[in-house]
Amino acid sequence: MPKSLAVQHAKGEPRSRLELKELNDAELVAEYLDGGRFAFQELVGRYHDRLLNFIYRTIGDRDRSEDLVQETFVRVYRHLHRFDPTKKFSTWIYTIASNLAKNELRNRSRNPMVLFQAIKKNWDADHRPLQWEDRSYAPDDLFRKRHLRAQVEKAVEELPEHHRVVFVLREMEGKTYEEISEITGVTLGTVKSRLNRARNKFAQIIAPMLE
Amino acid sequence: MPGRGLLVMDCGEFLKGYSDYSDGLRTPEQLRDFDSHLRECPTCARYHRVVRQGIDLFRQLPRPDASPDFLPRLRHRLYHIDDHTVLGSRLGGGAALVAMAAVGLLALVWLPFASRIPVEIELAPVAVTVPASSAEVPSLFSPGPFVTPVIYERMWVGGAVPTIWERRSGSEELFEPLVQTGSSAAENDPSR
Repeated sequence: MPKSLAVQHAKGEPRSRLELKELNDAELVAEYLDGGRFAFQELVGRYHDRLLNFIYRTIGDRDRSEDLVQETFVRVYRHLHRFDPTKKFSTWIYTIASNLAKNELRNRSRNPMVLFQAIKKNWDADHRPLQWEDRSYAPDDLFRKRHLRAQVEKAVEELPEHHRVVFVLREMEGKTYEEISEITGVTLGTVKSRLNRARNKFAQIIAPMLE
Repeated sequence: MPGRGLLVMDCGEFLKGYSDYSDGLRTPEQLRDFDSHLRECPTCARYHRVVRQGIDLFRQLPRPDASPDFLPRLRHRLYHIDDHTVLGSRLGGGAALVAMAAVGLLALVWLPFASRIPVEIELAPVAVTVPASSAEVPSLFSPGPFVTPVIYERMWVGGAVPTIWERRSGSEELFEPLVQTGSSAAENDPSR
């Protein structure tokens, strides 16, 4: 463990939440394994939004994404004692989430009913949640921007699953090639090739809309 | 493609290495070649522009918020894991030991009996005698009638016309007398 608050802290004394915020992920894991009750909560706070976004962009179903994020944390909680502290915690937790997302997509392809339900949800604009409009935009701009966002979302959904995971991890989550390679369990060369193809395909889909 | 002769790399090379270029993973010299290609080739410049704009839009997509009950639900699930772990550690060892002891005891009690019980029980054959064929004993399988023509004739000649099938209550419709009474018997007389 690197020199940090975790080393300086006297053993047996519970840390305040403020102190926990200053620890890095590995230190939080160590703190939790030493009996720090709130360390796990801090990890949940750091990752739940990010994981929700990653899984949502991968599988496209918000409610199911939330279930899978819960499942990710349950698995992390159960197996935290097995976590290798020499590795990056974020890579580990993203690997678990990515595997759950992959399984979800695999199950959907086996059960078309689930896919249908997922598509049916939000299929109509009337079913989408209402949002306050930003009045600083002119209606045309607002419409165009919304339309473009919807098209971009659709373009990402159209990418093949293994390309989409790599694309989301790189472009949305800002992961390095090495991290993506670890998370997805493929070689660095495969990551590069998939990312290149994903960008290429993405450009092909959205080009007519951006011209 | 305009200015193709002046280009250091062709469009295929550009597209093949585009990801690396986009992520700055090439040497400074190679990056300069890519930049130079972008300046000279409008097609690749357009491609680069589309990818950049698209990715910018993608990054601006609203991130989904977790529902308000996300954390309480998770806390509840984790609490139950703790609960099971604690119960398991407290009871698990003892319970497993008790269960194993019970199984062992049962085996000890049961084994002497089990060895005495034959696996397959063979019953002694049942001796039966074949009954002598008799006209008076109705048989389902023997082709002979209940009343042989001789008996029938004897009955007829003797004037006694018995009803072989006794009428039983409720069975009238099912059974008809083989030897009918009175005039009907005379009508059915084969000798006429």
